[in-house]
Amino acid sequence: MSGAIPALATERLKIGYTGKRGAETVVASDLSLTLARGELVCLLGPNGAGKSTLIRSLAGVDELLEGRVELDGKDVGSLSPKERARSASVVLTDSVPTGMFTVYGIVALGRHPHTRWSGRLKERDRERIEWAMTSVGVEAFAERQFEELSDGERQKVLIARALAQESNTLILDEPTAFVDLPRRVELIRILKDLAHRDGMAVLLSSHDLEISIRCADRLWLMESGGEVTCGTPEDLALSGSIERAFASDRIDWDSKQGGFRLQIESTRRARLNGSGDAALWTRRALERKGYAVEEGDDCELEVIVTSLSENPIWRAGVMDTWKTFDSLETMFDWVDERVKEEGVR
Amino acid sequence: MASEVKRSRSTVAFTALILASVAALLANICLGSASIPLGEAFGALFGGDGEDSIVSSIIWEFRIPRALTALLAGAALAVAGLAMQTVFRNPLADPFVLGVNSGASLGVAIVLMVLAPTGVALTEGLHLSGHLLVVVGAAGGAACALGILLTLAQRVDVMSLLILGLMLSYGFGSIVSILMYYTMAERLQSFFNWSFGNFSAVTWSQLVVFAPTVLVGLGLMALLIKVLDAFLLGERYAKSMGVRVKQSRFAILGGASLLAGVVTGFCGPIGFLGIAAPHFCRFLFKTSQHRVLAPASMLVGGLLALLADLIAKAPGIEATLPLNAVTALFGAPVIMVALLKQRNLRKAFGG
Repeated sequence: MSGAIPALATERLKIGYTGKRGAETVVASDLSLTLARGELVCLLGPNGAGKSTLIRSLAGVDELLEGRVELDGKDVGSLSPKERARSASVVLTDSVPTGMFTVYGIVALGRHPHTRWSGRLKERDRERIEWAMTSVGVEAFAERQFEELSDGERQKVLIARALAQESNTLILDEPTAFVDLPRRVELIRILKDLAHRDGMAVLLSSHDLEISIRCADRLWLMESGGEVTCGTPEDLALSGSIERAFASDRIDWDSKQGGFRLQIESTRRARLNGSGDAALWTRRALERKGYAVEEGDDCELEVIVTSLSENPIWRAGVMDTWKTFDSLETMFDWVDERVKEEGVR
Repeated sequence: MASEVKRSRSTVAFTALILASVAALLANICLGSASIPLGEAFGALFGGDGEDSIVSSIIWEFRIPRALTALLAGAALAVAGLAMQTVFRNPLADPFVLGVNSGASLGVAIVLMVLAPTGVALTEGLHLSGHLLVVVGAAGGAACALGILLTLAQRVDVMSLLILGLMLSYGFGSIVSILMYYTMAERLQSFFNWSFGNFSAVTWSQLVVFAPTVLVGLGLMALLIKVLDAFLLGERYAKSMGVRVKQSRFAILGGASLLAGVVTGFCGPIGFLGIAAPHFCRFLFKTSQHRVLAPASMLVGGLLALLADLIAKAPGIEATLPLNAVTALFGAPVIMVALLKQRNLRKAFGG
């Protein structure tokens, strides 16, 4: 992909908003980012870092404070609004009208920058609308009222509207918010197909770290101060950038497990012996219960995970008293009881 | 297939609306203080020589300009209401609610009560030049009110904007009251006559100004149909689709105030048509697309104006009713029923 003109590029971009009497509130500055055709990029960052502002600035909805944005190698400042709309389309978090609109009607609005003044749809427009609806899988309810759809289906329709705009770049602000987990995975799969199969450049902001890290070709990590670090998810995980970006959100990045853990104050220590699935979930349970899992000798709790005829069993020891359990629930009932007794004594 | 069913449904609805409008137009021509049988009316219209010259002159001098005025005024107010509802993304937006009519009233009050006594183009009897001054006053006042609203529109949400519009109405109304308090009785009378609303004040000589102005306004709106559709998704989406939002909003609301202002200037403040006609059309056609709603609203607006004028003329009784009382008397309950039946009206605007 190197050498080719990126679908979207920024140069020393400064974003934010202008308040009363021209006072600037800068959200981020000096951003030089690129987005290539055929790649899916997730913009990640803690709440309030300015993800939405960056998304809207790139989509041409918010004004730029400084610097430039290039779409398909052309400065957006030199493009007419119509030309810009043909290069980049967007799915926003704004509420859209839900009544009196068929799915087809909403998707057809995307043809706006291509039709003449009357908005009359020609054969070519209809083909593109059909394609857009098929791409996201909403062709079956073209004549349904938008209002009757679920949140996930509505989001797909809005993506189809953006696709109907026939741009190289697709920019989405939190497309998976308010959507349940299976739909979320489905939406990401659709976006991934659009990038990899249809060669679009797709940028989405998300706070869904797990999915983003697994699916994105690259991440743009935005920290609270507005600095953006780019790279593949794996590189950013290994270099500790992900941990740094989310340091403010009171959640801990666990680079061994490739996920986040809730930052629960660990007051007790436990030692864990064992391997495999059962050990992984035991570790989670211990952390949830407020234990720091360590290697040291002076732990309040020691757990050994083994198996008996294919089923996991747990041996737990508190103050040299040992007992065997066939579920974590019964084990923790006993452990909590023991710990309380010891505390009293 | 579903779209074909839908298309035929709109065709039927449009045909019905056109037929109803023609019927209402004929009824308005035939009925009035003196009823004229349909056959005689046709005779007068399509020029049999031996027809009664009195009937012919009633029809040509009074009934036809009045009916045409009603048709155009209704269409203009409905389209202005439709455009404002879309831009403000609010089902209750119309020239009346947002204070545009009170702005027009103030403009007219200034012309009739302040400028006229100082000798500026005396409007005694309201000849054409005087009438034009009234129209300029109304349009200027309407544009003024809309300008204030537009400035405020960027700072507050739509609900607050409606309340601000209401407050604007009170503000303008109080200035009008003060003007009336210090004005001589005969000048007050001409303002009162105007404020009751009337389609009969427009004669042929005024219609040559009124009709083209309304047609220009409607033509401007026709050019903006596609942009209005884009505005349905909100200004940010409109911008992302390549709409020049500020210029378009200016053009749409400018067109709306031209339409509302010119109608208010010539016919007086006429409420409820601007709200009722677009809602009726949304209900009838089950769509938000302006390609359908704009022509449908024109037809429904014209139809409602003709019916309201028919009631105001009170055929058969030796009396007439003030026009804006008729539109309010019938319009208010209709809107109340529509709101109660369709409690989720706000959802249709993403408000």
